[in-house]
Amino acid sequence: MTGTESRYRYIGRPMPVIEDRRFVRGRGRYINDLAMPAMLHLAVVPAPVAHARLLGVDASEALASPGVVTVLTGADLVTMMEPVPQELPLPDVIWYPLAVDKIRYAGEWVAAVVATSRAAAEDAAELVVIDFDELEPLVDPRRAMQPDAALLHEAQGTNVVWNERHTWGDVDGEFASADHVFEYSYRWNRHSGVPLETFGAIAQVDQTGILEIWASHQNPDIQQEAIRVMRTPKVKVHMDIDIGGSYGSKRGRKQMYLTAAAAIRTRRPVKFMEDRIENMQASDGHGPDRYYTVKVAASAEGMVRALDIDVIEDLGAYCGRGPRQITKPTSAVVGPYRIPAVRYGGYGVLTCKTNQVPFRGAGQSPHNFAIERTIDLLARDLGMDRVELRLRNYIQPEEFPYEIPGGAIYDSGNYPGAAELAMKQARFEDLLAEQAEARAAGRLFGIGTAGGIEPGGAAAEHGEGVRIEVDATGHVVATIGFQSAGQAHESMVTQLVCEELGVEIEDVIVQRGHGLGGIYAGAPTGSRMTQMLGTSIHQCAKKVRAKLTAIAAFTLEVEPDEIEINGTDYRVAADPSRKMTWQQLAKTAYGPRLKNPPGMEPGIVELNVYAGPDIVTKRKLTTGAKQFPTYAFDFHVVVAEVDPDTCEIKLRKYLVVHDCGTVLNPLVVDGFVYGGIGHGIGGAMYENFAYDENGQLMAVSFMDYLMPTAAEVPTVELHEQCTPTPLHPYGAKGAAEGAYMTAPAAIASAIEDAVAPLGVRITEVPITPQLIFDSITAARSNA
Amino acid sequence: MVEPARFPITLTVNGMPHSVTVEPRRTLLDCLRDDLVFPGTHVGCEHGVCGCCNVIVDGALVRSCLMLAVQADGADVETIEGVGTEDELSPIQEAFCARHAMQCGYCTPGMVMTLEDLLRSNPQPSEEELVDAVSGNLCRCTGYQQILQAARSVIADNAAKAGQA
Amino acid sequence: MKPAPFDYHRATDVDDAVAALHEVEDGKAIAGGQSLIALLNLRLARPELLVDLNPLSDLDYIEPTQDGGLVIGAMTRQRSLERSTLVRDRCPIMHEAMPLVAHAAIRNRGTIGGSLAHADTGSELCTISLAVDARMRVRGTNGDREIKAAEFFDGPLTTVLEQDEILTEIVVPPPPARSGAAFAEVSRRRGDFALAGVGGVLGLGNDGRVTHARLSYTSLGPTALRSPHAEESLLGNHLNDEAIEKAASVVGEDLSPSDDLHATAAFRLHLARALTKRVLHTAAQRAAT
Repeated sequence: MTGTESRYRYIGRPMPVIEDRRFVRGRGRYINDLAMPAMLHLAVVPAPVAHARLLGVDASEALASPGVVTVLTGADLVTMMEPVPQELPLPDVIWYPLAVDKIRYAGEWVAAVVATSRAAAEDAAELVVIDFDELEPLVDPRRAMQPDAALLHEAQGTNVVWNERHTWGDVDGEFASADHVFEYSYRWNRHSGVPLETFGAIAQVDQTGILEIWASHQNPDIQQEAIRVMRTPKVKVHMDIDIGGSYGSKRGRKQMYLTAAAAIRTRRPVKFMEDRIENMQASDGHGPDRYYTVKVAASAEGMVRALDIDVIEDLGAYCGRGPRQITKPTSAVVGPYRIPAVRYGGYGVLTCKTNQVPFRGAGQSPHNFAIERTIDLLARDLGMDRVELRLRNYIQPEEFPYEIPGGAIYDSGNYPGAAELAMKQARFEDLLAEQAEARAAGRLFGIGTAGGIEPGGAAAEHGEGVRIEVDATGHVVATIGFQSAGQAHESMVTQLVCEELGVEIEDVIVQRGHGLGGIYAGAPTGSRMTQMLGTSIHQCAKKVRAKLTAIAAFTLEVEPDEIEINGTDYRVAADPSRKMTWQQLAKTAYGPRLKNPPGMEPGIVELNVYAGPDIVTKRKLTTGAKQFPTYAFDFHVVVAEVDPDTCEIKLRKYLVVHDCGTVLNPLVVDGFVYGGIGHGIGGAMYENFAYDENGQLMAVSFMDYLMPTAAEVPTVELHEQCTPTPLHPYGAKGAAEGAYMTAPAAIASAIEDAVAPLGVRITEVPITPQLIFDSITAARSNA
Repeated sequence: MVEPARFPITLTVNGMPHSVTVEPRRTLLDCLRDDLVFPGTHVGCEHGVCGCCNVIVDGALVRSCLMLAVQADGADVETIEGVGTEDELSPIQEAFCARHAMQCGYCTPGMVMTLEDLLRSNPQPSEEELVDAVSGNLCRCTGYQQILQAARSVIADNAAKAGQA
Repeated sequence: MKPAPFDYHRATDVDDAVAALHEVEDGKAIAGGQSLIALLNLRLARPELLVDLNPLSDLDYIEPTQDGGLVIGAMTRQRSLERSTLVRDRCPIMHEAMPLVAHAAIRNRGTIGGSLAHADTGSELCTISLAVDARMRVRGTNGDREIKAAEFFDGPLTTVLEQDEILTEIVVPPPPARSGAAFAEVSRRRGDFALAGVGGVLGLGNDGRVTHARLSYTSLGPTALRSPHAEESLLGNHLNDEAIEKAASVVGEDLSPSDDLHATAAFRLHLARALTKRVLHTAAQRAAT
């Protein structure tokens, strides 16, 4: 938008973020800051082993411990609630917040102690005695898939709960006629969002019998699920606290239900604030955990003709939301490439680990990693330039809307444009010269590139609602149905209300609601809020303007279509001196009925729910494929250097070109891009929820789960390209996930390029000094 | 088990004296948050890695999860609630807002305390000193870029002021 | 993640602390507490009594000795060591390593005595105490004694201190004549415990041959370790590439690293060799100037 006069007053401007003023003073209000009178505290008892038959839980000593009010076990919960719903309909995979008949992973919660303080609850939790009979720990999904492996859920008859394979296009024909066929394998180890705030919940039954729940939960649609699970329609999930980070992972459903059960049992408010170990071991918060096999068919010129992608996904002990992360990539299964035929499928396998959560991109990041690694390795094996191979295979700007195998339609994009801009800004030629010099001096200096697609607007068929009220003094109250975790939603809503209604920032109040507040709210997932809520505000504001126009027309005695809006003035187009100001309109709407058009409801209160564009809601795709409304793109250039002596890896340069169409607020979108790269560096080089062979999680603290600090993240140079989407009133696409979706691929590309002279290929994340050492050692012994 | 004795302590928080009786096992973090109700200091890991709970005790930056409340008897403690006012933010807080140096805000109080501590003793740190200081606090949202941008802007202002003086 | 209950005693002086520890089965002295309180919070340490040494401000000092060395009070904060010009001048290897110890907020509380008594194999200060032949002065119910660093560390998180003994002072002898020292480590992130660390102190004779050699190691065994084989191989030789290669090649004789989540024993040994060379080159350069 730079360089041209914007048609917007607020959109595109770096608007200071409203939420920041409270956060810098420590005045954010998070779940851990809430306290109720006479509130009790809950601590859980973790299972000591990974897989066992649960023979008994003896809480007698714990119950006698000072301050203890009650102890809940799985057996109690079975009588109090329905099982926690899972992604797939699996009647024989039954999941409760506390283990019932079996222990299925180390750290799984077996009992919950409720006491007058958290310390007292922890004291007593140590006194709970668990009687169990150990079974084979299932740590590797490839083992768990075998017919003789122990079964995690015996009644299910198998540990494989998702097994699909979809063929789109003439895959077999392309492979049969291809000039070149290569096969590569990749390993994506577990990491996740790991917010600095653990999950917390408070529950109480209010004086009217309503079960109230406050939680650091990101998704308002939990209200409907809570009603079913807790077997009562009288549920009120509050959505008005600040969440200390989520990235998709704050969905502690079992935590909320457990806390609710404790509140119902004790008839007192109960708080459960996970500690870090509870969070790491058993919060159902881990991300994808995959083994990939990718076959690629290519022509002699390097045109990719077909991909055959096989995924083994380690879901953890219950189905949770994991399978969603396997299927999401079908919405962008070919990435930015013009590939006519794809086979995609694999296995979702239950193992002795905590459940997956859909973390930032819901499985797209490993998918992009697999695609971009494949392109790099194909280039290597064909002896072609990696960037040239990409440019040759990209979908071209004039080809949009573009239908990919499976049927998803990409709305718009300019992939070569972004790539070329990145190369230019990075002075790619200079980098190559620098690399030649470094290599000549014996240094391991690598340049990496990767581009990635960010599908935006997840599950658009679920609506997103807003209520806009203009009170009698002209202030605007916008009520939304969810609380946010750093996405600056209050600022976005304010900005759009100002843009649409012409009011000033200080005239707008954004209110966050609750489950009984009458706002249809889905979930801030899949980069959808600017898409969904943004469009909803646009539509709702139109209703407000229509009503104000009707009042103005009635008062000024003209037809509504003779009214034009100038800022906040509603005036007669033919005679602008005849007008009603905003304050006059607001006062009139709440004033004597005779001053309002006949039959019009008094007041200005408009409700709107937007359900997504027709391309998502009115098209049926091939079985197995998904469609998102918009597709953003980014292209990364990374320079990495590996110390040949110590195998330490340093990122020397990081440049990204980001294209999410219209940027509403650059301060916010830049932050998403930077933050995504931070997560990408973590996943690519540092973070790993590794389990030992007995199924014990080895990274249960921040001493072992290594999130990058400021010293590990290089300065990121960010450039924008703007290819607006036709599917959004302002042309904006989703933006919060893309950089994370592409960064691991770009970093792997750079590190591989650094060690390529030693014959090393990078096919796994995290890429640690240990991995480099092992790879170099292996390459030397092969040579 | 025999209840351990509880200890009466008196400490100054943000300039105001407070008296409270604590179990020896109570961390300064929990005491500040739950006994004295300064909830701006956040709980991140409770094992000294994340920096969410950083406060300034007797002029030195510390992890309040790695200090017992009984050890703060007689101490002068400064928390995020004592930095800036509603009407006048500190320069670091102001720069954090201007550059959007946060997203979820959870690490922000600890991060602000770290930078307050750094810039009070060293108003113009080098880039290396700045990154080293910030590396003691984890942020999960920002990739640190806008945090460092904000800090650099304050450092540049400090340099300009020093140049004028 | 709250500690198990414990009693607390605020020491009034060293003798009082010793007496308090003597009275109980399972008492523990707390200095900076930067490792201990984390372990308490995780319930991995659960003493019945904590004896707080923080009131003993008379144990917070860095003083020069006549012979060119230092005496350092056990309650001296790591941050003070980092900023001390005396440490910089008289124990440059400690000065070099201090910024690598965790982060500023930790060093503000953490003490030299606490680090040494905690005896973590990942502790830079333990490694340095070996490299500089420090001596630990301790007081217990049975009186005072002095323990050489080489005899102080006894195993994982264990020293030869008795249950009722307290480390009060660390004696740092002066560097040998014509000496050079260096410390280097590899850690996953800034401030993390090292995957491997090496401290080296060399002294050269007038003919340029090595007359004094100390090489000590972080995270390469159950506790901080020296490599007598490598030290031995250097003595009497000029510090050329060949001697340095030779020394690095024999360190494995003395080290016994183990596998963990972050590095295998084999990789740690590789790092020990690589860092040994790096440290020896730097130390040689420094000795020559």
